[in-house]
Amino acid sequence: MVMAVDRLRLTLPSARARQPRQASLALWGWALPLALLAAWELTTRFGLVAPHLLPAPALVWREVADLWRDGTLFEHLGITLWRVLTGFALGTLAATVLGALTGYSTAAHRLLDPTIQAIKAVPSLAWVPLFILWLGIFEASKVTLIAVGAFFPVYLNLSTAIGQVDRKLVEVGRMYGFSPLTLVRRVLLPATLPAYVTGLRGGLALAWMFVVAAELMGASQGLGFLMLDGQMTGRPALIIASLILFALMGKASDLALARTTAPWLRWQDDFARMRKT
Amino acid sequence: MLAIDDVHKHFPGGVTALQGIDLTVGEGEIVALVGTSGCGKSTLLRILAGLEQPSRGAVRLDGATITGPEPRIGFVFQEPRLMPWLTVEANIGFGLHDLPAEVQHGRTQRLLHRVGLHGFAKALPSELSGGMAQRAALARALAREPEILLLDEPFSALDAFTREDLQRHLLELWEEWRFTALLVTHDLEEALALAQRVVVMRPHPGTIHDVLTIDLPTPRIRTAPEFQALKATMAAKLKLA
Repeated sequence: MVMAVDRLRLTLPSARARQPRQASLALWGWALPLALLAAWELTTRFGLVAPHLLPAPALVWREVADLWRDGTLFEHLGITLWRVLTGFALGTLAATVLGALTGYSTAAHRLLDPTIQAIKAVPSLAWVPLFILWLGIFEASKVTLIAVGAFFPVYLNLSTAIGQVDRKLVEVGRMYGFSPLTLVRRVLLPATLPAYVTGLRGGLALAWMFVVAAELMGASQGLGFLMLDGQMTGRPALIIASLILFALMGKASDLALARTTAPWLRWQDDFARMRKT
Repeated sequence: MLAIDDVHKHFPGGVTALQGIDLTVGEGEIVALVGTSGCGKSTLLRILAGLEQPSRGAVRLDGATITGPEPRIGFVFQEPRLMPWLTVEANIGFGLHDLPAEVQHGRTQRLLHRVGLHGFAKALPSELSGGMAQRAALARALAREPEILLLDEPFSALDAFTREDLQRHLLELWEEWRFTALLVTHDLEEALALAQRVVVMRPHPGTIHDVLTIDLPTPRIRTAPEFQALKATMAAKLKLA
């Protein structure tokens, strides 16, 4: 009894303190980048690595500031972001339709899945020559390549997850005489949302990977172009600046996706939720 | 009227789950199916629900053969089987998708109150106790206003107090709606407390061994000598198997 009362007293203040503690925990994510930045600064300051290989952080910052000043920074960021989002949207759309189809129907799975798996086995960069031949060197080939990259994680996660939906929940839908489309919409898709979101985040990550490949294969604008430009003109600071911008943009877009999809997943009663409370 | 006519069920692999089942259930009647595991009682219920097809024979509802699930028949599963992503309210209205919005709303709200979950309309299933979740499942089945309610060991996962509470609750709902109910259970007291007839089944293959008419007065007192005597009779019939 005494112990129970003690425990109650102990839990009350900590429950109240949860909000600020959560915020301070989020700051932990900055610890490693800041430590790396400090190590980088020290390495260059004491001349441990030649400056033409690893320029000082201040030089990298100056590259970014210059781009900002002449107004091209947002053009480069904007076009890269546009390519990523357009390719991601198209890839996701195709993956959702095909994933739902092959996940739901055995016949569709038998018919389509082997081909899709075979296409997946083609190294993605191997598409580049063909896409350029078919679609030209401008936006269409780039966006298509990114769409191909984003397609597979979304398709695989959705198609597999639909097959794994609890038979018992599907039976409830059958009991109410749901048509196949109603069953997909009201039981199968909601039940697979967690896996679908995992697929979306994987697809977005691959879209960012592929945009580099797409921009390296010939572009006059974009982060990948900046990187190539830095290599051609011997400006390591520009290469590193592009890398950091890629990391920031990728992380920001993933965070935006995670935040947007969080309300769909609020029902999940899992370990991640338990850790939070 | 629900008529089960010479129903057989063979599963691939040579298992005969049901053999020559004949049973007629009248309108508004509560019939309990009891038997040890493997006697095919759940299979029979799934055939009545249209979730499985009999290998031979047929099930007829007012003369029409049941070939698949239909709105006149409701089902309460052993587990609540609520959609974890929907609120309690949305779960209760889950089977009403083809009805006009105001009908959906009206029925959902009435049932929320009727099963005592109005305080939990916006809660998620993971926030409910086992008894509350099963009450929500009962409400979801009743929302379609079925003529026949099939219950597959609906209270077997609950603790003794909650179970009796829900049994009482089911009887109250039945008093109000007078649906026909078929209840599969392995709890003899549950069968005796609720049913007007108890069908005793035996396994390997599943057959009907006996049908007992329970004419104890309602509400039934579980500690009454007649109640306990009937329970002993039934237990004896089951052990013979």
